[in-house]
Amino acid sequence: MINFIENQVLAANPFEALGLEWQSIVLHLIALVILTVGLYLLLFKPVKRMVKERQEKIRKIEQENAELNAEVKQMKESGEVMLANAKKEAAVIHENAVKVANQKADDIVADARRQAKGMLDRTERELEEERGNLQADIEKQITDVSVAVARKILARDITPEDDKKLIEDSLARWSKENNE
Amino acid sequence: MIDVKAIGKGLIEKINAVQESSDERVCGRIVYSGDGVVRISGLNDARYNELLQVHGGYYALALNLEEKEVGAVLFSGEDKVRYGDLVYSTGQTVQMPVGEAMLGRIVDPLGKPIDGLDAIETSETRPVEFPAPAIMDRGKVNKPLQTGILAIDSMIPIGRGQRELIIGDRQTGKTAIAVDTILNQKGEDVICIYVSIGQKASSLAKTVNTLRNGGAMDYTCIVCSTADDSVPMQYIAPYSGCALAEYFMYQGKDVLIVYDDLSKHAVAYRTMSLLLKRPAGREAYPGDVFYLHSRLLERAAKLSEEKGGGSITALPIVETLAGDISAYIPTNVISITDGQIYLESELFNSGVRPAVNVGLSVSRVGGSAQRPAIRQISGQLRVNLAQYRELAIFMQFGSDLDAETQKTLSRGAKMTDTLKQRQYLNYSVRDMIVLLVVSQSDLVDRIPEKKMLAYNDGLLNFIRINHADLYGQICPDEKISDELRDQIVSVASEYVDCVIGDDRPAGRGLPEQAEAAAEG
Amino acid sequence: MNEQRPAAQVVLARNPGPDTMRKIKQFAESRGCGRVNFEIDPGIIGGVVIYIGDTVYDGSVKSRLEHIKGSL
Repeated sequence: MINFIENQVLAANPFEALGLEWQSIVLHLIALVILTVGLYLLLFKPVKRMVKERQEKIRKIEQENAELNAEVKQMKESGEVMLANAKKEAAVIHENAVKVANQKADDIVADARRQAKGMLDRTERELEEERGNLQADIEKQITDVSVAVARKILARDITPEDDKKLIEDSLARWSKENNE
Repeated sequence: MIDVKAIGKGLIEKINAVQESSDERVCGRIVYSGDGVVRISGLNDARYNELLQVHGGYYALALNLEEKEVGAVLFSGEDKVRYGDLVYSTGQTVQMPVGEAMLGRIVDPLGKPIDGLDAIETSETRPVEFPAPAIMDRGKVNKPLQTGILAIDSMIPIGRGQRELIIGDRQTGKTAIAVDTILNQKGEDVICIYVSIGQKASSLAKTVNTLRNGGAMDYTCIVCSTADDSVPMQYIAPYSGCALAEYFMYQGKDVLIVYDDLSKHAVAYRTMSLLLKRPAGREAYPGDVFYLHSRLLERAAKLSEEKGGGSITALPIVETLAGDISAYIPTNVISITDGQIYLESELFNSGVRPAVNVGLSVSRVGGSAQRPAIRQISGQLRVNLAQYRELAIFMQFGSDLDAETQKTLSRGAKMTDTLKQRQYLNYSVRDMIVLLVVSQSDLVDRIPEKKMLAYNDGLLNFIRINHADLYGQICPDEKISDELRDQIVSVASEYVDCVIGDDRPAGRGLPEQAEAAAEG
Repeated sequence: MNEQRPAAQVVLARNPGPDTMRKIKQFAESRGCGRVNFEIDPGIIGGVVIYIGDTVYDGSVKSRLEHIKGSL
């Protein structure tokens, strides 16, 4: 019996000594391989694919983000440029408007001055004419008085001879006029 | 201040210088006096329209020559002359003193100043009734008379030597157009005469003030016969004004004369004729009321070059009642004049001022009285406005219209807005060219309707001041080249941005920026 | 013969002497007048006013004074 065990130990490989048979190990290995391959094909690859897709998506999002950022930056810049332009335009418009307003103001002032001068001139002239009228009035009064006085005097002081002379003078004059 | 001694000396000198008058005068005696009419017996040699002098210094006009009497109308002193007063004949018709000294003055129809200033010294007088220029003495009307009013100068142009009637109801702006025209003649070497017949003294005072403030009195003379003047004064007022105008015309100058207004003149003539017991005709006007106005308006003409080339442009004003231009006097005067400017009170009340009805107004001289540039641009204006008016009725239906119609309506409304003009704001010819070019271009579609008026106002200032060189390039006597037109439109579009800034619709710039920021 | 001719009206300030009346009548006839009517009116102060038909010959002092007054 002891020979049996010793033979078994010497003759068998280590696996047999452990009570394992090399066939079942190989079979186990093959099974492992099949399992591994199966797992790889059924589980690992899809998972890997999903992970890759995920990574793709994330990469795309990152790219978009980067683009958007670039766009935003560009827009900001262009916006600033436009703002600057608008400010410049506004300044030009403002300047123009100020010029126009100044011109209008000048026009109004010149107009007002002209009117004021016109009024002054007119007032001066009217004063002159007032004075002239007053003078004329006084002349008229004097004339009236003188003529009234003359009338009274003549009515009283004309002698019949004077009258006769007057009449004859008139007649002579009219005859002469007609004969001319 | 007042030297009494000098007065005394002056008087003595004058007495010594008194000339002996010829004591032989032809005279008659008044046998009837009433209502301003006197009947005179004697004066067998009196002539029709002769000026008679009534004892007391009053004047009368001999109008009825009968077998034993002469019927005359008194210019003044109706309450002072009495039965038996002597009436002397002067041997002349009514004369009007004429000369440069009359400019800047306000005179009555006999030439006496009524503006309170000193007496007018003139060396010449002209008869108030004078025959119109003969046919061979007349020339063609080809020079424009700029009124400064866009609606008139573009579509109803007036030439120097034309008669253009201004007709409309009361308070529609007839006198305003005439006064604006006078104010616009500053610097144009045109002498203006404003004849006021039967107007209120207060309205006349306002007009005089306006002319004075506008500096127009230097070249204007006002012949005035207010409503309280005797009827014969109102009757001869327009003829006196015309005599003064003829003095300048026969010297080769251009004259503008405004008769404000001829309806009151016809009424005064009717009063006088009825008092002289002349037979009454239609509407109680005497039979020769047409002749009354035709002989007045025929004296306004353009003389040929051989006769000096002067002209008188007449702007008679006639007032209608309730817009009836087919009444007696309006139809008379319309048939005499070379066109009319018809003002409607509906347009006036709805804000279109000047209230010119472009459809019914006409100028028979037309384009030959326009500067070439304006003629070129305003060719289509009347037609476009006519189309707009036809479609305007559909505006009440609101938005159920096709785009083409809406465009016509909106453009027409904006064109009407462009033609509105404030009183006393006269446009120079260049201003008008700018406004017409801009309002007929596609640029108007960008301007909202409510801002059109403000835009026009500002645009003129903008171009005049900020683009003075472009403004100076516009030459009214040549046609506008397409290049110049484009330049004007581009300058105008610059200005559009200034005006409609706040109302700019979204679509560019900042709003989009905000959207993008929200996404990221 | 004298009826067809117009009558003359003469206004004097005071009673004229026969000499004066004769001269006046002569003048009136030279102007083609028949009768001569004389009238006294102290209002004209002096001189003579003669009305013949339509024409008046005014040589009175009053009118001369008024003429002076008017030209002043």
